[in-house]
Amino acid sequence: MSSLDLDISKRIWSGKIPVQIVLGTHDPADTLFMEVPRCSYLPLLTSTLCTQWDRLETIDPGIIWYDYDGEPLKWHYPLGLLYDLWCTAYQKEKKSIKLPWKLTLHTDTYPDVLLQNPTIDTMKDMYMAMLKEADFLRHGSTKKVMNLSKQDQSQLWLALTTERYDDYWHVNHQILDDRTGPAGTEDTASHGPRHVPLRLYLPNQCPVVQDLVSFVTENGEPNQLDKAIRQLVPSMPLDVRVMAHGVQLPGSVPIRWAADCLSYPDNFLHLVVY
Amino acid sequence: MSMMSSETPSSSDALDDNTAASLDQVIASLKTKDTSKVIVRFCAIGNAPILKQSYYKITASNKFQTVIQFLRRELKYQGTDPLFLYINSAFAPAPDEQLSSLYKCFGTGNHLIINYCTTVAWG
Repeated sequence: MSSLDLDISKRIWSGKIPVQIVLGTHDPADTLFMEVPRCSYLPLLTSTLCTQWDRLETIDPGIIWYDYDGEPLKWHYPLGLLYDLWCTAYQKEKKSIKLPWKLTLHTDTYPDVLLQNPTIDTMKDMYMAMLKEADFLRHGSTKKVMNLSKQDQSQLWLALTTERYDDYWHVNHQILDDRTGPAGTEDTASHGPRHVPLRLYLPNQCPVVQDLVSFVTENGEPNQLDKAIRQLVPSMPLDVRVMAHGVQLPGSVPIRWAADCLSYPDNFLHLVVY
Repeated sequence: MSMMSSETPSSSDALDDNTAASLDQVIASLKTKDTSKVIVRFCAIGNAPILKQSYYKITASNKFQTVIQFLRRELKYQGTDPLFLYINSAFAPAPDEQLSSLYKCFGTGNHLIINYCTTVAWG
């Protein structure tokens, strides 16, 4: 990575959103203001809140959920992605999110629309599964993640939860190493990374779009964001906008660069299309 | 800019690939339920019971959660009986991932391999 890329990568890692957490009661004193990392997740926020709020001490974190504007928030999506989805949805209606982002915490009537049991352990499993899925797309197997030592795997998760960029990348460099081909062969010439771990999120409860997208085009040229999006959805309008980490991306962004510098800690490029 | 058109028929072919539609039309098209079937091959791991029939056709628009529930019913498992499902002996998808996406990304040959076991296999 160039020093500019490193700077971008670090800024993305440390991006934060100012939030106001309100308990689902009517007492205005039951509110807390804080900053949450864009790259973190709601179950990790819950874990922090349970140490800050006496009344949450005895509550099972597996039944805690959040809503914004009446809509339950998916706890397995990174916080930055959730926020960007709301920002772009509001933009369409010519509204904007008033900061701090006001989330209501609930301890009952867990919604059916959310995945169950948002505990730290479940979140860790979900995160590791996403890492493996990204690894499989990129390298054709999950060998890179599975070959990590137990200590390295733990370090990855710990680094994410404590926001330690260097500790995280110390391990993630091993996962993203594209130099070895399948079956551990050294093959730098023909076996670059295979497919981009990429998901597109469109508005109005559109199903998430995920399909095989290559890092290079049929001509062997580096693939670009706008081409990649139209490989996924051929009928995508020309004037569509793409956002990652709160930033609108130009269509000419090389997809390899985007995957290397703009992915979330799960090594997926989660892109909001609007 | 060149547009790539899909080779196989899909619900998005309702729109002419050479005319960019509006985003709303694209969304409506993506929300149209994909009624095509994905061939799923269930492979037992460890002590997990083996099914009489391992190949099934499941509607592509279903979420992975539906596949989990389907297998639990076929195995006649109760709610609390542990069962873990993996794609290609590699990873466990989130229950809300679409079967069509999983097949497109991880299918081998004409089917999607789903391994299952009663204990955690690949962590």
